Amino acid sequence: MKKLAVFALCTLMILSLTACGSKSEAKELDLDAFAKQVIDAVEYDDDMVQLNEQIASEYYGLSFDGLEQWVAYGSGTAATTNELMLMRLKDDAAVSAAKEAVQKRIEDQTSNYEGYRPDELFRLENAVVEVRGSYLLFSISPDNDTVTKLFEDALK
Amino acid sequence: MPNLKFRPKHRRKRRGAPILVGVLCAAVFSAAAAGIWQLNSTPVQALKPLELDPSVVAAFSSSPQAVAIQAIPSSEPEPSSQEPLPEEASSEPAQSASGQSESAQTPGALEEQPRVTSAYFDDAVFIGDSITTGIKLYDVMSNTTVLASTGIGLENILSKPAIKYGEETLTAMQALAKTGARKVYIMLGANSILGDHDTMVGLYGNLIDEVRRNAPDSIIYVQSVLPINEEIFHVKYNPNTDNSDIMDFNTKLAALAAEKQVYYLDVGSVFRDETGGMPADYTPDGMHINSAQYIMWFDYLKTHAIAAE
Repeated sequence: MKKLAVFALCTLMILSLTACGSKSEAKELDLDAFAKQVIDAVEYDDDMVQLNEQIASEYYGLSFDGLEQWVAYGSGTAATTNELMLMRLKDDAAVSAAKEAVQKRIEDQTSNYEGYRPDELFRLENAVVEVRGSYLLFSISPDNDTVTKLFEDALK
Repeated sequence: MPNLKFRPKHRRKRRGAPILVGVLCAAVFSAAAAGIWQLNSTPVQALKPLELDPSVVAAFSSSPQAVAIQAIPSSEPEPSSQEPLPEEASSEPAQSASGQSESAQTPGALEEQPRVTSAYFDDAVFIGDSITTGIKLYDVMSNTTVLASTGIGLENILSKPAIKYGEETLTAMQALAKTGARKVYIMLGANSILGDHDTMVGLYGNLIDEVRRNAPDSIIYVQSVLPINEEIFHVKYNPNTDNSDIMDFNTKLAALAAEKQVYYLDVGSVFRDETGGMPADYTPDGMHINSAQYIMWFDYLKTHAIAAE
């Protein structure tokens, strides 16, 4: 009886700890607020505008399965290739598709800028793609260290 | 002996039982709390970053009632009356555009016309390079069609599939053919100033022919290359381009437009100051323009538009 009680107690405690543990791994990120935080924190050398669905679809496709949520900013003037894209993805397949989409974006922009703006190629070559849990960060900016740190801190 | 056997157990039970019950309750409670918390978390919603104000949408509607509208979208500075008043229509408090007077315009440029409304651009298409993409990015005329990309120039506009149109990626002319446009605005050449002008003008002429083929019966407007801010441009891009080079190219462009019987619009006049260059606060890098300048651009287009038949 005593052993049974101890066993039951341990099981319950482990279950409750597990419940709490899985909650902290699936930390939610308010993409809109986080994107604004990045735009404000980083000294972008350009005017960053929020991208609507039509423009974001032109840039990234966005038609793949498992894209649950996104927010994107880009250069309004086209003076630079600065860009910020955040996605929340359902599963590993969606993460793969998202990585392909941002890679294609880098290739498109490289093709666009290599003819006449070699200084922007440097910025494209230093683009950041990072995945944490369900979230993907894509950043082209003059200060990707700050962008990356904000992303990692937000999902700790 | 029975007493000995039972007393320790009885004591342990009495001491241990409340603690055991307490811990069991705590475990059950935390499991239940975690479960309830997860069940009540906000469901994920797709973000819609662009939420249009209904009055703005109505202002850009193509229905005749909406055209004669009193509501003025916040991005447009025009007065509610339809009288052409260039100074009042400018959104820039700093200076009224000195280039709005006729004398500052390139010879051959279309003169001022009766003002049209935003609905004029419902069936218009804007073809161009990175500068033209700003029309879409700043959403200055959401009812019009923009076929532009950073990678486009006079040397590749007919061959490079750089325009995302629906699910396809097309050349500008392929996309143009699908739009059924009745007015076509072209702005190209900023990236070609350093090239041979006669060669570039030749390419432009081919482009005009192709536009005519893919949008028959449309009104075609060739827009000038915009002036640069030389001080900034020379540092950011190269020191070899001056506004005199741009004016030379534009003069040839105006002549080409006359030859091809299309209209030439001196849009650059809106952005030229007394030095013949672009003011520093109009541009992020000496060549591209800031958001307020797109509104100035369209204000110029509204007063230099030919009525469609």
